[in-house]
Formats: sequence, structure tokens, C-alpha cells
Amino acid sequence: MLGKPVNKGVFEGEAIVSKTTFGFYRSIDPHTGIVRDKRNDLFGKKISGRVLVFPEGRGSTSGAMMIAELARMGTHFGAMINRTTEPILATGVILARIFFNQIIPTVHCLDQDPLEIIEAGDIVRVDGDKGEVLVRKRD
Amino acid sequence: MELTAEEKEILKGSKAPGCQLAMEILVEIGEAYQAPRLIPVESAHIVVSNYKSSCEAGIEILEKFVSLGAKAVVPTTVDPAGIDLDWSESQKIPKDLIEKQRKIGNAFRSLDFIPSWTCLPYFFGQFPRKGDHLGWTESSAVVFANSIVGARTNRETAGMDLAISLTGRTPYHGLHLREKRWGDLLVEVNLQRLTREHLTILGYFTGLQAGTGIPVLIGMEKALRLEDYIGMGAASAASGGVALYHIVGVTPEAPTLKEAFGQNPIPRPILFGPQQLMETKKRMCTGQAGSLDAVMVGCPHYTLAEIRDLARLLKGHKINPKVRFWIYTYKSNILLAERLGYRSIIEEAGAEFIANTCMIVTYAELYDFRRIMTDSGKCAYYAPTEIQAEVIFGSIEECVDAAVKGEWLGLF
Repeated sequence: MLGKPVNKGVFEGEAIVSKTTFGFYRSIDPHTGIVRDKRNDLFGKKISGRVLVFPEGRGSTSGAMMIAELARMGTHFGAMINRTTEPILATGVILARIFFNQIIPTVHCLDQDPLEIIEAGDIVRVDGDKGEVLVRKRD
Repeated sequence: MELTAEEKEILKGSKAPGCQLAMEILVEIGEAYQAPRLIPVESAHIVVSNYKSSCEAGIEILEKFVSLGAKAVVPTTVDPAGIDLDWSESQKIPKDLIEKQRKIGNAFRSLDFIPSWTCLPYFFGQFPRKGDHLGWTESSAVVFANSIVGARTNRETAGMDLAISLTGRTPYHGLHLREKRWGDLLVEVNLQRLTREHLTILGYFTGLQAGTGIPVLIGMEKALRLEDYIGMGAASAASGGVALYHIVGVTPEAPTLKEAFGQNPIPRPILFGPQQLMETKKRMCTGQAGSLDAVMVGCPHYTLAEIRDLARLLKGHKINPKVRFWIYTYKSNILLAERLGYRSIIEEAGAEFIANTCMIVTYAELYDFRRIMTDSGKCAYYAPTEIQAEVIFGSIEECVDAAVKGEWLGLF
């Protein structure tokens, strides 16, 4: 799949997929990387080191700092793919790189719907330089 | 993105390293959203103002800018703090959290941010003009500046707010562009009477309908009091993500229905009548009838006129001693309320003022309240998770009535 890059870098890892819009403000425990918002379908799951796939962000504009905090603690997700990455999410991954040296490649506006193509457990390679996403289906 | 010679110089770091770092963030965001260039802003408003929403990362970022000698280059106000350090009960708050708040305050002083500590920067600190470009955070302030004033700001985010203040610029995209400000949703209001409470419920309803769209409202041509629109916009920005709405015949960019929609097609209206009013109010109440632990008002911060109204309602009444009644506003408003005699009336009735913070960003959850009541649509949306209590929404008259009785009797 080809889309628009939001944040550069390349990462390959196992996908974790949420079908719901995702607000980061106080919804993930930065110490563990576990989702603690009961309204989210990933409640109780760990997002650290995964390729996080979800439709779009929502909620408080403070969510950007939460992503930076995950990066500071080293519990951040490895890459991010959205239908649309709105500025809360984009600022978060950009702060993570500029201030905490954590590269979270991020791509959005893909030519196919990532939520149709990617399933949890698939191995996904996100190239934030080219805006490219490669999916290797789980056996 | 096309940068000016000056911006290129800043990016090279020749001017100041703090400004360079801030510029880097702007350029990254601008390029991600294909903004053609940066534009100067008149002012900035900062949301990295309390530990709950800033986290340790926010403090480190602030201190990094301080260490690089960065300064605000446009007037910059700040959102509420997490703690009112002058309030006696703040001692209940763990010491390390108080220390975090002090660190944020110290950084703000170094960065030349105005210590307004309020979500009403347009009442205290700075007032934008129609057409001004701003770099504001705080969803309730953004929706007020765009809709009621006709100034232009995106819903800026934590971190971006700092970059905007320290460079005086923001990427030119989204709501800065005229053609991105046209309505895409029509709400027809059909009510005999429009009170402050009705407007708040209407805001909540509109947010649910619009999401991040731009709603246009008809059927409310008579202009109401300025403060009544504050609660309405705040509710729409919380339940949805509304950053701009138009009221035909009232707000500056909507003299007519046609102008409100610009070149967008005018859709079929969504009705907001007595039935939608009641249904939405029901939805805003996540609690059951029964004894009440607290009433919290001032989200967004109470204005002086709202404090006066509350003083009139409370005069001669006593709040049930089991009920805490907290009013959140900024410090200078409390001083004015004191001069005007409102404060003593309110405090004699058993209510208290808490300065420069609010129920959402402070540590109200430490009180283990089971059921609280509020006149704020924004608080009704956020309190169930932030205060972890049942939340009842009602008019300020209903809030006072329940506080005096010590219980909420239910919706009808």
C-alpha cells in the first residue's frame, strides 16, 4: 500500500489493530504501554513495539504529550498507520523523535483501507520515508 | 514548504537554538499536512499547563526550551493549572504533584508566558479580532475565537502550542483558509425559549451530530449573552470535536445562510426541538437520582456575570453541609467578586471558590465522590472518567436547588 508519510523512519513488526477512534489522553499507562481506557477495543493490551493500526484520533489535544511520554518511557508503539493521522497524533510522533530520539514511522491516507487489509498478528513494514506499507499475512 | 529567508535562518540556528527547535516542529507538521508556508500569528495559548495533561515529557520539553533560552515572541496565555496552591485543601494533594506544578510555573516564567491560568484567554490576557490568525489550544477557547469572534485558529495540540509561541508562526492550513471555514451541516433550532442551559445542551447535541465538522445553526437569530455561547461551544468541542460553528444572523462569518455555507451545498436540516432537548439532557446525565456529594461549576471558567447570577441564586440559602459546592475561575475574577460583595454571599451559603484550575485537570478524584452535579456540558462529558463519579447535568438553578436539598430528585 502507498500513502502519505507523516513521520520518517522504517519499522517492521507485529500489527495490533483497533477499530475504534483512539484518544491518547490518559488512555495508556506509560509505564507498561497497556491500554487502560475501557471504551477502547484494545483495553488491557500492550501496544509497545507493535505496529499500531487504527482509523483516526479523537479527543483532547493533550494526547500528543501522551505519545511523547510513551517515547520518553520507551513503551511507545513501533510504527503507526491510520486512515487519517490528525495533528494530535502527528505532533506526538514528531515530539517523540525531536525530544526523545524515538523514531515512530507513521503513514496515512493509503490507497487501500488499512483496516480492511491488516489484521492483528500480521507482520507489517512501515516506511515513513516513502509512505509505503508492506503486509505479510500471518500463517 | 516554502520558507522565508528569516525562517531559513532560524532553522539553521543562527538566531537562537530554542527558536530553531520550535521551528523544526512547525516545519515537520507543516510538511506532514502539505501546508504551503508558515503564517505569523497574533497570539498563542498553551495547554501544557498542568501535570495531568503534560506528563513528565511535557515538563522535560518545557525545560529543554528554557535551557536553550527560548522566549515567547507573541502574547502567550496559559490554560488552568492542576492545583490552586492558595487553597487550604490543596495540602491533600501529594507533594510530588505540587512540585511538578511548580516546575511548570517556573518554566512559564522563563519563557515569558502570561500566568493567566484560564481557559478564557479572551476575557483575561488577550482579545483577538476578526480575521486574526492565532495559534491556540484549549478546545473551548478555539471554538469561541473561531465562531464568536471570527478569528482563525486550528485546534492546535500540546507541544505545537509551544512551537507556535516561541516562533510566532503556524503552518498555513485548515481553518486558517477561508474555504475551509464553510459549514457542512445544518441544525435547525426550534424552541420557544433559549436559556443558557438550552444552549449548553444544544452545543452537546451539535457536537454529537457534527463530530469534527462545521455546523451551521438557524432558528436562534436573537443574540444571547456572550457567556452563554462559551458553554455551548465548549460542549460541542467536547462531545464532538467542533472547532468552528456558525449561527446565521449572529456570528461574524454567517450574515446569511448562503454565506455560512460558502460554496458547499446546503444540506437538509437536523432538527433540535423540545424532544431532542430532553433526550440530549438525559444522555448528559450518567447518574441516578439520590444524595449528592458535590456541585462543580466553572467549566469553562465562570465569568463575572455568571458569578453574579450565582450569588443572586444563593443569597439567603444554605447549601446542605454534606455537599461540596466548588466554583472554578481565574484568580482576578475572584478578587473582583470579592470587591463586588458576591464572594461573601456565595461563601456564606457554603460554596467555595477555587482559583486557576478546574475540576477536570485538578485532582478531584482524590475525594472519592460518588455523585456530582454540574451546569457544564464539557464537564458532563469528561467528569465520568476524570473524576470517576456519576455525573448529573442541570441548569445552575437546578444545581443550586439540589445542593440545598442535598440530593438530586431526578430528571422529571
